[in-house]
Amino acid sequence: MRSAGQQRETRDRGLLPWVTAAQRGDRDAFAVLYEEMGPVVHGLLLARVRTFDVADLQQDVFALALQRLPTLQEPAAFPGWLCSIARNAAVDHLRRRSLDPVEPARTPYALAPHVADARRVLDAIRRLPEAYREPLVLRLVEGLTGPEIAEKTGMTPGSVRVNLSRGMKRLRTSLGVMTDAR
Amino acid sequence: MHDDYLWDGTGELDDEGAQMLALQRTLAPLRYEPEAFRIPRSAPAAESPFASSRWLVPVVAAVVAAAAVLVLGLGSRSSPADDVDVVVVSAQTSATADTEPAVHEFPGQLPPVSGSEGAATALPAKTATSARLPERSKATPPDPKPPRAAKPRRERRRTSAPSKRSRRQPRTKSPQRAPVSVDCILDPTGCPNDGNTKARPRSRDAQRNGVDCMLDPALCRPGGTKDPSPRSADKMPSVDCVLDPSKCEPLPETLTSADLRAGMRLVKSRVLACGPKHHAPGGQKVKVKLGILGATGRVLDATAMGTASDTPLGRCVEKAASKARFPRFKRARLGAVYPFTMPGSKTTPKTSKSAETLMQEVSGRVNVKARGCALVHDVPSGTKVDVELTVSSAGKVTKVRLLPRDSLSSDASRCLNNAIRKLVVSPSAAGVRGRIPVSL
Repeated sequence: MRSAGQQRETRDRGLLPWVTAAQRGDRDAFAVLYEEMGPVVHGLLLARVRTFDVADLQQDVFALALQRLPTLQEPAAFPGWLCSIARNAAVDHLRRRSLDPVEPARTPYALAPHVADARRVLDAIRRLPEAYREPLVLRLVEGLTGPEIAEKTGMTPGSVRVNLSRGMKRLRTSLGVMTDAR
Repeated sequence: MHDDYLWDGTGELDDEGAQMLALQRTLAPLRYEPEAFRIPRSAPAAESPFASSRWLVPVVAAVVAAAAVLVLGLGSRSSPADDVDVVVVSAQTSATADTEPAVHEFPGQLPPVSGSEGAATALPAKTATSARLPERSKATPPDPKPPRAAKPRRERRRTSAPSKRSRRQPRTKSPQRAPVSVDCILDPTGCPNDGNTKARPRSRDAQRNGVDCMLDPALCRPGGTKDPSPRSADKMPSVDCVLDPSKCEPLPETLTSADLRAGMRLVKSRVLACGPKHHAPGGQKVKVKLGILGATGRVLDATAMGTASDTPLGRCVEKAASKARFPRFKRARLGAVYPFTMPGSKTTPKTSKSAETLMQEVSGRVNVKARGCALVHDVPSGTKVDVELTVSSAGKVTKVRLLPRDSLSSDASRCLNNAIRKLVVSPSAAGVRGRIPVSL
């Protein structure tokens, strides 16, 4: 677990020093990166693959990142680089398993009501265009703010803001339609 | 702006903001829960200047190995005797790998070892070859497979064709072998009396061994020297001996260490196969006490001693060792203790240490799955379950058992079972069974 000082330092100086240290083989630095980027990777995977597969894939993504970190030439590009690994891992996973990211509506087990609601909303998000999915999952599921999403995914704040706004509108419409249909 | 709340949570909380909050609350069960990252074993500890040139290592090793093999090959071709000596050396090393048999005779002690193997080590050609052998092992990259893998084949070759070996051995001692003339082949009595003809059936042996010699020329041995090869253990008494017992070859008083070794070589591969089969750690020694009947040369009883006694490994070793055959001897019975060193198995992860590795690797993931199922099926928090996993050698979870059985509802246990079965474990922890405590 990181100390308060480490957390403050991470916030102030960004991930750059930790990336550089992790590239030199510092495992503690990589632990910091894992802690910082965990929610982002989780969100990116959740936007694409089934809920049950996310934890395993997340481990795979970080394992691959740890393995390839020495080859990253520009440490500042780490967030975008890691997000690309996560996206590729999700695509590979779907290709391998030929799975539809939208979880089946009818499962053999009865879902608890609050989980069923969460799944319903998540499925609605997953049906949106890809550009809207990620910011919405990161904002609504992981609780990251817009600036944090921009910083940790390597996207520009402007595009995150636009995608969030448009995605929210479409989600509302989608959920409204679904509510009407019921 | 009206979407400030959506952007960074600041600004006025309007209807849309309230909707967003409601959605956030709805989606909360799916939120990321920090989980410990398990660093894979293969991950680099630190950046190495050689990291980008790792491909050089196997290439260099291969080149060095090829050069060593070439040098050895040229060296062995220069002298035909070396070719045979390599086999002799390997036989010696394989024999020593099992360690010297500690022979305890029930009635008394066996005579000291004076076998032909000890004499063979004094040959200069052999010492030269044996000095070269370690070089070859140094030049090749560390073999992940245990060296034991190659030995049984060599032994099998040696033991399955003893007559060929016995024909080759004299050749090494007399390299200046003259070609045998056609006359000599047609009438052996006309052959010149040199080293080659000694090994051939001569009239005295033919008379002495009679039908045996005619049926199997390998049995026609001058002076009736005892063939230490395992096959001689099964040698049938000659027809003369059967017709007139006074003409039988005199049996040795008892077995020598060389006889014991030769007899055990036949079953060695079968005994050593017990190690991986019963997950014995590499290097474990299993001593077997053998009771050998002199009249038949067969094993009457075999008993594993020490820690292996009364274990599946011990029983397997006993069964395999009891198949050994030895030359007949005069005494009624001989007792011997023979140690076997179990080879390192490919499935060594089945030791308790690898079970721990599995636990470390899977524990976090199993807990995550369990929490997911608990959430879905409303399992009361704080419920504790033990999950017993069996992982196949391919790294897939083949068996899941929840203990105690009735701790979860059928839906929840089915959910957990299915979720855990999807786990894929790294090969390092494959092939083991272990129990993971899960707190829901």
